[in-house]
Amino acid sequence: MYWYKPWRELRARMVVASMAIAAGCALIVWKEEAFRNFRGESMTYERYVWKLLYDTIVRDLFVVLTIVFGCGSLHQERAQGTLGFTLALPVSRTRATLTRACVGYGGVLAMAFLPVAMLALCSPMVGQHYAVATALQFSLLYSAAGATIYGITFLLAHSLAGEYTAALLAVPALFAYEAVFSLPGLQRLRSLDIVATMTGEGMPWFDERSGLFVGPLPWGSLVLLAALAGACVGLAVRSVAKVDLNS
Amino acid sequence: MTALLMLCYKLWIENRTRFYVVLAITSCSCLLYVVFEGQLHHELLKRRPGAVTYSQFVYWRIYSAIPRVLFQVSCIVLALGGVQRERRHGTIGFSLALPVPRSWHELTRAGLGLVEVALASFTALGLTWIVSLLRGADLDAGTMLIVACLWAVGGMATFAMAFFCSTIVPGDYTALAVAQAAYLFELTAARLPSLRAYPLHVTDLMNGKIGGVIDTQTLVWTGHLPVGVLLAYAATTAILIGSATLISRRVNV
Repeated sequence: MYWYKPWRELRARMVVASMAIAAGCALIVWKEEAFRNFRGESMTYERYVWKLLYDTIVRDLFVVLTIVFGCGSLHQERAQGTLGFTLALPVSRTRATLTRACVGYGGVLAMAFLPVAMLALCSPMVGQHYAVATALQFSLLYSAAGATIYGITFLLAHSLAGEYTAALLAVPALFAYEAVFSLPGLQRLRSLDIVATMTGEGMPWFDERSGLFVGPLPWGSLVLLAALAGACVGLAVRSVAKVDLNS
Repeated sequence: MTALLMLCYKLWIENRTRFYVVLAITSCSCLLYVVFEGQLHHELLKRRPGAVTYSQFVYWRIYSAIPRVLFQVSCIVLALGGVQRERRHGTIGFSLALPVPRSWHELTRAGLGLVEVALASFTALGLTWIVSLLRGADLDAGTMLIVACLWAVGGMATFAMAFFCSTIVPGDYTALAVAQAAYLFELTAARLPSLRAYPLHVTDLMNGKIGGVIDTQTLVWTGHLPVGVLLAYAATTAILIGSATLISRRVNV
């Protein structure tokens, strides 16, 4: 029952997000020739897919939709007048919040892995081939980076009462997080940079000219980003467990 | 008239926290770049060696970067709400009991939102100009006014698109997801070679790249305001808001 409730609440967002990511992938592959000719530079299909899909359009869609997934909490339920029904369920607030976090992250995972299927399906239609292994590697990077973005938004949504405040503050929070790594002395911590880890831009394990991985995935960074997401969700659960929702 | 004022007051009370947050986010993001110009300009020069003047720094770091993105995201969030949201919250009965037609609700909400978008753009860029002057930097007031107009019109078009989405899509966050996706697809579609000849890219309008507002090679402002393009964007905004109002009149609440 307590899995079904967040699923019912989030499924419309999941449908919209999946459709948007699928449409973004299809558009990029379908209009491949037009976009490539227009850019006027000769590039391989792998570089084209990286530049437009993983480094631009789908990345932006993924980030904003992950933020939307992270929005919504018991605070917002209080504003909608449905809080009493949720708290009447025979589960603790901690469990209800953790379940919501898991279901929401399921949506983020679906978005992260959707390009694998879309590229495998659409590329042959335009006479191209994109390696499934490369797409899967990007999906893993997106999953870890998406977890952190989701965690930050989830924490904001569970700390602030306003309905749209979390959605508004998540974007500057993300920019502020990214800005930290451009500060002098902190550039060596760039392995924790969410966007660079997602796209591989400027990373030693990725070659931007070919759009291919030239080294093993940064497992340490991925684990750290996942741990950061876990910490954010943990803090959110803690804050909800203690807050007086009747006032 | 009293009913309309009451409606405005109701919408303002509902919306004001969001507006204050938007104002703070947009203004602070602009001012951060002005205050830390010394260090950030040095970083920018590594990427763009041509950006030597303060005006070019402001162009690359405020008009074309994070502050503009935050402003546009804010415009989308400001547009959310309306009849669909009130129905979910169970407050629709109180709103519809006010002695005004249903279309007034949507039109007043849109009007208030458009004013907020304009205020946010002029406040953020006005503060940028004032703080730049206080720091002894040279920033042309006329150019700043033109950019504020471009931001306001571009922001209003973004607002209208999100407003339309929030009217047709039930669910607060679903409407936000649809609006964000629609906004990104609009930007992508405008980059298609077949559509590139038309002034459809709203961020290009806000950067001054449409209508010859800026020389894209030298980044010198021409002082020319593209009135025709701005009117076309204003007409699009009006059409989107008008369509949303017509649809909301037929929504079964």
